[in-house]
Amino acid sequence: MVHLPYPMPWRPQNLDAQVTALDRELGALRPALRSEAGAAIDRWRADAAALLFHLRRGTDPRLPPLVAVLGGTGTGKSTLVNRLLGHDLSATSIRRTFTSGAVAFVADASHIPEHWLGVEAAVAGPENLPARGQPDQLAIVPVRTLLTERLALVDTPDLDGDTPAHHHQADRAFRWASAIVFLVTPEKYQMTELLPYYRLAQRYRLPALFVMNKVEHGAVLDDYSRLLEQRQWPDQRPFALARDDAAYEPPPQANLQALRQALIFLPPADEAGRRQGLARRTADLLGRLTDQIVDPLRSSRAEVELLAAALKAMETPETQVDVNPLTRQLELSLRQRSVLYLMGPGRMIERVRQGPGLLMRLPRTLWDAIVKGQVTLGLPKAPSPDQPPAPPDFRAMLMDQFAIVQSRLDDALRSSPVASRWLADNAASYTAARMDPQAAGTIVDQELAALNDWLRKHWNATPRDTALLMKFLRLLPGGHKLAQWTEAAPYLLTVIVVAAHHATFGTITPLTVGGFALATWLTEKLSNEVSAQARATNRRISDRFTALAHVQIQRIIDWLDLVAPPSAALDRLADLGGQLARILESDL
Amino acid sequence: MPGPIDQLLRDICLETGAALPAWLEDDAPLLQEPSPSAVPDPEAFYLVGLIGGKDVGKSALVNALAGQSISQSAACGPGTEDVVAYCHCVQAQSLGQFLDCQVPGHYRIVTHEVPGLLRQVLLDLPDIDSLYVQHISITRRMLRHMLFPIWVQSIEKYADGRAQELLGQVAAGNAPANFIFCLNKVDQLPSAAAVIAELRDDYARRLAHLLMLAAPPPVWAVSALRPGDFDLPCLRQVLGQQKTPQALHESHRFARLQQQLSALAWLDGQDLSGRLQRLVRLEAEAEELIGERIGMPLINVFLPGLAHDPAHRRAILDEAMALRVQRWPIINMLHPVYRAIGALVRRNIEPRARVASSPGGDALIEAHLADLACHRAAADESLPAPRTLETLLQTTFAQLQRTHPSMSQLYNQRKLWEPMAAAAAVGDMRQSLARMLDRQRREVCARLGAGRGRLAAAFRLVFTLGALIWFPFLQPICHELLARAGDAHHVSRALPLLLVEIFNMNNLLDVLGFFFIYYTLIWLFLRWHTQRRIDRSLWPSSPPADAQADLSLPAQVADWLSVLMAPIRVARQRLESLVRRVDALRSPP
Repeated sequence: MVHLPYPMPWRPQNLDAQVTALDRELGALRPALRSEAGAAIDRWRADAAALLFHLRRGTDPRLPPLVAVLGGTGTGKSTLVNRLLGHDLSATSIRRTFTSGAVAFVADASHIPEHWLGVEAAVAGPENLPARGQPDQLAIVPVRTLLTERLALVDTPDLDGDTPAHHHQADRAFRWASAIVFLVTPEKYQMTELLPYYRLAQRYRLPALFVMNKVEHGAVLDDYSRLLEQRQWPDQRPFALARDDAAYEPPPQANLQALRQALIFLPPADEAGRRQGLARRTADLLGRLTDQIVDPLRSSRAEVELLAAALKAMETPETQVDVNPLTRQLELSLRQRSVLYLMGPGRMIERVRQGPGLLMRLPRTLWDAIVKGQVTLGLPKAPSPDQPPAPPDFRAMLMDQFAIVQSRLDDALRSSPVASRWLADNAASYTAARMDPQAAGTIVDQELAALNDWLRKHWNATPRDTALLMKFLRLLPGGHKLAQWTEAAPYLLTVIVVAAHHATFGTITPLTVGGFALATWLTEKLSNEVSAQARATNRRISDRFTALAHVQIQRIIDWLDLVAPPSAALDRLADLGGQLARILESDL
Repeated sequence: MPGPIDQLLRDICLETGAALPAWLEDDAPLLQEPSPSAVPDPEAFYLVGLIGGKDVGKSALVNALAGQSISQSAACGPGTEDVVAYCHCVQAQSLGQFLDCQVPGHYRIVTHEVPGLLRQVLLDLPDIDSLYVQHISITRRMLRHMLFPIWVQSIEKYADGRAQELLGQVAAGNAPANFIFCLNKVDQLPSAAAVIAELRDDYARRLAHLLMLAAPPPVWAVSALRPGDFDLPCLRQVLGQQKTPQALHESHRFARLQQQLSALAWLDGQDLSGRLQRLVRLEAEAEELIGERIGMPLINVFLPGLAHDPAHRRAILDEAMALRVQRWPIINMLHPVYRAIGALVRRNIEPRARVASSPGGDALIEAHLADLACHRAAADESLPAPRTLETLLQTTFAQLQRTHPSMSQLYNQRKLWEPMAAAAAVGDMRQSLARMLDRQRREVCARLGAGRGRLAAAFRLVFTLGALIWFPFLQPICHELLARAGDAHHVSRALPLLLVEIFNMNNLLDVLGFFFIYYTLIWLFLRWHTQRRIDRSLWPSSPPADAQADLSLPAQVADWLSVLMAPIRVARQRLESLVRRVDALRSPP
């Protein structure tokens, strides 16, 4: 084990790389996220940019410190800047909330780093003076004074006015500045809006100066320094500027001249303090990363997982599609062409069964014929291949089934309050994730087309058993003649079978008849390929429908994934955060 | 907020799930208006209070208005912490009681004896924007009772966000006409009238924007330190005399009107009529869809099939016949034989005798629902594709849910697109129909089973037992007697011969054959007649009378369908009543 004789060297580049990685990760997540989490990420990245600026700036000591003047409306921030510089360079007005963006006063425009504040910078020419700050823009005014040789002075919008956009500009200036001048008045030194900034300035070890404008007597200064003492700024003696018409004269160690001196000789923060400040900035960002980004996203993620599990567990309904009505006719017609059926007992039984019924119905039929003039034989109509009965609308049925699946998915989402909020937020992408029920209709179309194709091909086909039999008959001597008489074939065959049996085994017993009947009936059933085809089609439709339903479920789950980033990304974020925390611990 | 409006808003929130408006929360600085019907006490005091930020000079302004130092004006530190009330000595006691309720221990009363200010109470209040939390809570509490707030801001603070936020909250419950706006410390400005006017206009413009006023409100530019200058003398004059009861009444009316306006503005944002229209559309669509996809197959296929089911008819007929035949002598002995023969024949020839004549209608309904599924009952092209009733329910409601996501909310207790709920709903219908069929059967049997009095009984006796005696015995004897009337000798000889003839085997066989045909005919007539009466009572050709209406199967099905749609209907009715209440509020009485 190696004992280091001195603490590990300060390596801002480690922090830098880690924060940059986090920033990149969040940047990749950002486009898919909803407004709420997205806004938190945007805020975080804006502040991370400020942190990165501070981290990198440590390597370039030539740049002068950037001092922001912070205060409420009407405290005279622009006026103070003008007085410090000795010229009317910042536009002032008796109207309130006049300055709307940051204005930087520097000796040389190059002293303001590129992308400072993360907004566009514009150098104000002499014709634009006095400069007035514009929102989301940094105006740079080059002016050479004793003060600007040493530092860059930044005028900011108000912190407490009725325009919230101004507060953001001021907050941003605070985050990017390397020193702060807090400006108050007797009316405003107790305002609540400044309190968090006092705390943060102390926490980030930012050098701060406190100035009270419009002072009329010294007591209020004492009260202000008492307040500062309660707010972690002990032993501060605020600088005082008297109100124009007041008789009060600030003491020489606290007047404008003293303030200018204090600014010029603003002590550069000691290295340890700077590190501590940076470490705390990083720690704060880390905390916000956890509290405002990772944790909410994790809870959304958990919700997503829950919903996805529920959706996956949802069983798809039966298709309830049975194509048998379509194939029924072909099955019948094939059967009636089958020699075995004609030979077998099936037809006989059918005919016998119909007899008494017809007889019993005779009076009723007669009555109907006489009274109503119509005859119903009560027999199943003979199937006619020219006019098949309209098959059920399988397409509509399957589309309805698919609509049920979608409704159940939708309902499962809507029953969760979190998910119903997502639905309201991302209605368009959700609609895109829902499939058109026509897709289910397409399945039926394709399968039925294939089935009809098959039916057409087999419409005039010879049943398999008959074909085999014919082939066999042709082998017999004179069999080909027999085979030509297909009409008579069953009866001849019966006669041949009976005669052959009688010649070989003797008398015909009921057992023989029964065996013969069973054999022909079974063979005919088994060799009829239509029902097998119908079953296969049913199964294929059902399988494809289930697959389609699963595709729909998967698409909804994918949509949910978009709403909350996958756990892997969150784990990566948390991981990067953890590494950052370890670097912070080991370095400091 | 007056009670009814408050209640209406809360009801709407309950119905739509919207959040209550911010100014309806419990600690909002909303003016507590007495109800308009309450008789105002002409002696009661009213409050005029100064609201403003820290150190804008409220206390100094109070002193300047009162003309004496009643409130300590502090240059630094917490400043005014308690409510300072400046009132006539007559009001001191009641005001003290009132303040004890509102801000116990945090008030001070200074009395005067100016006769013109008997009812007006001037209040100096703590600030609204400093780090002292207690201050703002006291001021908010007092604002709930202050009809005339004076909004004081200094030239430095007039654009502050906090003050405007509070003003916005108060303005939801009080009329801008009751507000007085002051811009203090104008003495600190360069003494040019134009500068003061510019600031005043800027302030007024911001106020107009915040309060959504057409014209900027009047702003008094004052300086508490120079009471004689600027607008302060005028302001003192305005506040130096108390409001007349009429003016006070007007102000209350304005405040109430403003509260109504705020409520209406909020109501407009709720889009109630849009919601109602959507619901009405949904209801119409649901009615059409359910009628077309569920009602039509049920009424056109299922019910006729059920009603004219041979098994069902036969079951009723059998039961009714059994009851009826009981009262017919001889035929009641033959009846089991006829029944057995009938059953035998039927079993052999009826291809559709699927349902046994079971006592419950459940199996019957089951069979016909299955019929509906495979469309065996009628091949009507106009009907949708055949499927089970459960599937029909599921698909119909799924389709509704697809087009109207609000269905999820309405049907969250009974998700009819789920297989379980649909099966339960179909089970309900099946049960009610089965009950109905049983009731029908009982009713018909009771009607047919009732006898028709003695005459009918005598009639029955004559037709059965009478015939048994008359045809074989009485009739030949009577015939003989009448044919040979008067010839006693002949009669005494012919009668024994007749008896012998009667008991001749051939004759007996003839008689037996005759009676078999005779009783069979009676039985057949009874059967036909019973069938006719059953048909007439179950399926009358004329529309059923009111007493009969609940017996009809279509009525049952219609009931069931309306229960399916109940959630939509109930929601629509609730929303309609809310919209009516809103309309009543909108149209002034």
